[in-house]
Amino acid sequence: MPSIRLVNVTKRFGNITAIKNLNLTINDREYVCVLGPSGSGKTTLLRLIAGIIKPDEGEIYIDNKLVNNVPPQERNVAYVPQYYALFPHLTVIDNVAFGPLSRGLCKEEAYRVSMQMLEMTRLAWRSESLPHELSGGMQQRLALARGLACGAKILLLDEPLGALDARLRVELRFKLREIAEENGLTVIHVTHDQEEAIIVADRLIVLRGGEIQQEGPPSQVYNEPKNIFVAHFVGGANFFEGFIAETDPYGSWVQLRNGFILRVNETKWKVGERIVLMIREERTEIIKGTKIREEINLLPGTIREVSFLGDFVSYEILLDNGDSVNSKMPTLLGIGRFRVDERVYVRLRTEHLRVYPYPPQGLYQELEVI
Amino acid sequence: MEDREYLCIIGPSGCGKTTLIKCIAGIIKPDEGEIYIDDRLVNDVPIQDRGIGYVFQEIALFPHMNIYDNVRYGPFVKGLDISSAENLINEILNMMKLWDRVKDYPSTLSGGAQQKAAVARSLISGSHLLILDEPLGSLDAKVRKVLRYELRRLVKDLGLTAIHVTHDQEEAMSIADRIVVMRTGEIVEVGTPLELYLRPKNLFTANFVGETNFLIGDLLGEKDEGVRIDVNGEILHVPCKPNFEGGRVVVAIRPEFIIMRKTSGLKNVWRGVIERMTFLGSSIRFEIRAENNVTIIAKSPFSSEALDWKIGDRVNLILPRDFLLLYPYPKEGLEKAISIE
Repeated sequence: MPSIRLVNVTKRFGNITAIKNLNLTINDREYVCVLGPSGSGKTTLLRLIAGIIKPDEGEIYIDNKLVNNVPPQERNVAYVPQYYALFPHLTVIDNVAFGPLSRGLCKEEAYRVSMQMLEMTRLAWRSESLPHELSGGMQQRLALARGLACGAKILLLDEPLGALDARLRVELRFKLREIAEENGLTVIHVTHDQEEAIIVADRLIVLRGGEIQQEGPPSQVYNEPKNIFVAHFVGGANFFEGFIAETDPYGSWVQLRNGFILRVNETKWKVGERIVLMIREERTEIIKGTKIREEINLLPGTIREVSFLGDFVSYEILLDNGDSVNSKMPTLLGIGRFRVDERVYVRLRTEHLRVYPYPPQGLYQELEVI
Repeated sequence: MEDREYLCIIGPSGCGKTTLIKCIAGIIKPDEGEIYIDDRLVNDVPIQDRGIGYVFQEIALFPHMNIYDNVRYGPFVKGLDISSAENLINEILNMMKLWDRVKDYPSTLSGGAQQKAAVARSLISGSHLLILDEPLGSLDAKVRKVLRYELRRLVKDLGLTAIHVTHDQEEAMSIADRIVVMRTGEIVEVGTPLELYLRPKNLFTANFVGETNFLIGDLLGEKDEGVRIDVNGEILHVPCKPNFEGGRVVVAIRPEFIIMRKTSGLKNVWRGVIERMTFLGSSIRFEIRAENNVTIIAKSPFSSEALDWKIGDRVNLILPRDFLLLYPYPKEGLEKAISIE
């Protein structure tokens, strides 16, 4: 039985449409991540489901019950906002007990449940501390414990790890999932961090300008992005502008800047059509350029920069036609292998190249991140 | 710190990294010790006379001034002569690619553009030492990844020295010449990104920089060029001699160095079962329970071989000797020693 369903939901703030005719179904016990840049509508979406704001159009169903006019406290969802909103004057355990007490549980039961939540989030030993005495990671766990104590089966998390150190984020991601699984919860986790979303989600929903760009299991969204925005926002991608030079029953030839030609597997494009090619950074290969090689999809260039990322090394190559390529490889294989200014070849295998229509407002606009 | 170095300071919240740079900047005074900038003792030198450009995490542009006036503020206040100040300003704005936004007000710019303007403003004072306190902290993950390289490029092109504080160790690894790791007010380790990654000198660094497997074991004795360790019943051969006393040790190895095979007969091979697989985008993370009941994390770049693995599969894990690091078992226990809280 689906837990949450949004049907044709629209929400406006003045003349800005934050959510546009959105349709979404979230199933019982699913861990869903809503991923998008700042301003994409992800927090608005969460608040609509929580009941903090009402949709201008459309319906929201929780457990098949229409909840448009049901206030937040009666929706049986737990909402954990981005900066936690912990009660500064209450101890850890009193913070957690607040929810159950407000819902009418007797003191004994409320504190029993609270202690249970604190044990689960490994905060029981700090039950008498005040929030400001806790570290960032502990505050996050407290916010979570407080959200869970209400007994709601639906958890709405707004950037739950956003206020934490990078290293702590990595550790606590797994903890979040564990807790969700152990308690049979349905979770909607909103974030702008695609690395986090990919790791933690059963299903990924990519949002932009209030509209869903793509949804599906992380590996599918990552490996088969439906458009340039998704390809760029989720994972690292290289883009090349070009046009279709020739087609045949088995594939097409694409002409890039300054005459470079690449073979792709797609056949649905028309000759002359302006397109954009995409290949993931880790799917490119760099070959030492000691001999002249005549091979398809092998492009000559020069190493411009090396970047050490920990378990990966990234090389930036300026191809001879003026295009730039970023090639990522495991540190074990890549460290010290190529030097800046070295001449190399870059292999872009046909099976890793994806073709997209050229965006009407221009490629740079579409990719604009800063 | 050396001239023209790009130094990053990393460490968990509350480790003292911001306090440290505030001391260097002169915002606060040390209780003990001396601070020298260009061999000059600066303990009693006020902030404005230390020749430092400071960039705050919250960006802090003047909201009532346009970008040009914001950037111009420093030299304007300092009374630099108009024409040379203007030349400098134009040069910086061009370099930061903000030229087409000079007449706009900060609130109309994106977070990333605002931060570039803040950096431009700090550069204009002509300072050679730039202190950046989580300069990318308030920006989206994607923007941070792009802007960090621009930051380094700018500093290097201008021949500046930079101290960049960040909680993001990947950020530090990708742009620092050297990294300082801090914890509870002390420097734990200093090294190049590669040094900290391949040969961290202590357990905390090994855990804080990237992910690491920690295998607790007992020293059995010496063999060939190294030692034999018993980890819960399985033997590991580590090719180095410990420079410490005591029998209890911790062997560390990063998940990405572990090789997964269907069959193998080499040394340092552990057999186990895959319990969990996580898709990470460009790689896959495996949780494997070895025959000695120890859980090992392995990371494999995304490939068709990596995809063949399924939960429940039996796997041979090769722990290459060259990547095994040996540490004494910490007095306070492993969990406390590596804890980042």
